[in-house]
Amino acid sequence: MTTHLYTRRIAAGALALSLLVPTLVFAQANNTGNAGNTGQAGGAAVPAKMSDAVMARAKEKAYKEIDRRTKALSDLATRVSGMTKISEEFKKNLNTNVQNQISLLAALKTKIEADTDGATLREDIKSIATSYRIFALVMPQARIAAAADREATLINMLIGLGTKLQARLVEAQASGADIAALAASLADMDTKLKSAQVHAQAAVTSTATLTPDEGDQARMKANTDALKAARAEIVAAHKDLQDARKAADTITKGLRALNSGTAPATGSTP
Amino acid sequence: MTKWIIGVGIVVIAGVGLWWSGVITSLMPQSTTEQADTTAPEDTTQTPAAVNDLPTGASDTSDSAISQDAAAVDAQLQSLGSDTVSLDASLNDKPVTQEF
Repeated sequence: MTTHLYTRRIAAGALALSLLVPTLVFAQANNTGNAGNTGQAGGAAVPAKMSDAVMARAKEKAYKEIDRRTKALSDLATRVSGMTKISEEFKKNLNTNVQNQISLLAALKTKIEADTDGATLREDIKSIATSYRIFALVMPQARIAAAADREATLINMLIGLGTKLQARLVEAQASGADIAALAASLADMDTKLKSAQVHAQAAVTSTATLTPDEGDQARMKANTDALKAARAEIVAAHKDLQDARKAADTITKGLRALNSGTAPATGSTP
Repeated sequence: MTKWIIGVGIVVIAGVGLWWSGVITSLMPQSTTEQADTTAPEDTTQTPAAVNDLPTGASDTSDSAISQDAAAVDAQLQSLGSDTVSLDASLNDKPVTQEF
């Protein structure tokens, strides 16, 4: 069972947003190795014979970690099923890998429950720590993909909204209204949406090829840096989308003011 | 001379027979047919429609539609906030320390 767990391979999700139609590539990574902050208390040899109380305590902590990870993976699977801008193939692959991890954790829990000697229990608990290297990468990688997917949806929605507002501005202009300020807001909205697209794309691209560190400290640091940089890109895209939304609001209010015959409000676009 | 006329007649009859049965046609290069197949009529060429993620029709520019669309955008922006919280949680994840 432990060997089975160690030799299983998980595909690290890699997607590339391409103008709201992400193309997905799946990279394979070995699920081997053990290092870093894995939650495993290290060190002393554990005798095959140990008291029931010690084994019970060890098992309890193992269950806690397995249950925690299983819940996180289940939540992730739900989120993945809600993605709309990634390919069905990517969704299928990601779901398969998440379900595989959940199944492995369930099997490991069953095995730990049946463990009666310290040496076997120790090996099983060690595999919890080893598999954490996968979990620690796949979770943020998929969460970045999920956020980028939603940002792609929002960009599409705001493009649609902007197109409608543009049509209304054309109508207003045709009826003699001065729409210069509102047209500037529309241009600003467009700029923000393009910027959001660039940031969302960068978030995905920078994490697409990451693989579990397998105990390599340099790779672990590189992965951490890349994930943090991608997080910054997601946040930057989020800010752009909020700004684009504010610009749309400025235009909407301006159109309303034009219709009611009062001067449109200006300067509220960020 | 008569033999020549009979010979040519047989060849012509055989040729017409083969053409009638479709053998010659099947041996002829298909370039003309293929060219016709790959030239699609204009009315069958379809441009993929842009996906409309808004709750109202893409061409509905009424105040009501714009208001609904804006509300849908706000809801998605709020969900994006939740996505960011989940992302942060995954980046700051700490495993439960094990006994061994």
